[in-house]
Amino acid sequence: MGGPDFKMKKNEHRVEVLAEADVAKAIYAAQSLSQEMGFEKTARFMIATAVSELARNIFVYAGAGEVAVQAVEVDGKWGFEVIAEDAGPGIKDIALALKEGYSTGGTLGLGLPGVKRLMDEFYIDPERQIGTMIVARKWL
Amino acid sequence: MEGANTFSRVGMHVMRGCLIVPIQIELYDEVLQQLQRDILNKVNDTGVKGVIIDVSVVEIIDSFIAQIFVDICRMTALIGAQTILIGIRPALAGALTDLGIGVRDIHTALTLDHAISQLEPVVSPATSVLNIPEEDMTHEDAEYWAEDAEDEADLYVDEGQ
Ligand SMILES: Nc1ncnc2c1ncn2[C@@H]1O[C@H](COP(=O)(O)OP(=O)(O)O)[C@@H](O)[C@H]1O
Ligand SMILES: [Mg+2]
Repeated sequence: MGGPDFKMKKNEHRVEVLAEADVAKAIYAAQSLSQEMGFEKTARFMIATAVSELARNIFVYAGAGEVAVQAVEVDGKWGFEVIAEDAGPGIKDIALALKEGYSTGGTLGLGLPGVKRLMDEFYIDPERQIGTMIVARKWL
Repeated sequence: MEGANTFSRVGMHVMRGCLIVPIQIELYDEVLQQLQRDILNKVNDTGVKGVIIDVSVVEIIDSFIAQIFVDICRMTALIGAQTILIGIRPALAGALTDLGIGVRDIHTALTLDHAISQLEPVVSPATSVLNIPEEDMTHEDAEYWAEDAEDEADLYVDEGQ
């Protein structure tokens, strides 16, 4: 999965992440949209947890950024998509950051590998010059 | 309101030898650090051997929040108390597993009753219900276990929905 290869998108909701309280706002946006889209409960918790991890990483490592959630359609399939974007220090070694237990913040290092498992598709833009852009999707 | 800002505002109480901690607030970093300290202090002051943290109103447990609970489990163990989390909704279990948080890291029980009976051997080993042979069970004990079984049945139905 690379750039935006979807045919249609709707119900986009953007949450600016500047403070820890914004993590809760991103979680709320994820919960509302996934419920509206008709995801079952277990999947909704997975989506909300993934969005929480990405929003928290922005707050912790970049200080500021944005989380956008939306419904996307690819080849007749609808999915929940989250795009987490910031202009922070960026992730130098993506493979390393995806390793379980790797953390520069002294925390568990389970966030990104967790998001990868929680969602169906996961992509960190390797070409990004400034900051970080992560896209994750889960299909209905 | 002496020291109002230095407490996590999480009300705790001791019940049947266990410290009960119902989480009813939004879990921010600062609050969580304070909660850790408050629990440790309370365990120290009361000398309880069991801690039960009720997370049933916690919406999402991401890896950061999970770590706080893992740390609380480890720290209370160091001062001689075992911690059990209750109220993790079945639908949340999948997300926690995907994060790599497992039963190795956090002890859980379905209900308060389950947690209390799990902790009974450490809280009061001499009078533990688990050590009473079935024929010596008092009427109350029998009722207690019956209630427990009912709880289990309820939860089972709940999961199926
Ligand atoms: N938005 C981001 N900007 C910069 N670095 C990040 C970002 N998100 C994650 N990282 C890096 O990836 C590492 C792993 O992240 P994660 O898996 O969430 O674990 P943790 O947050 O516990 O460190 C972080 O320690 C950090 O170095
Ligand atoms: Mg993280």
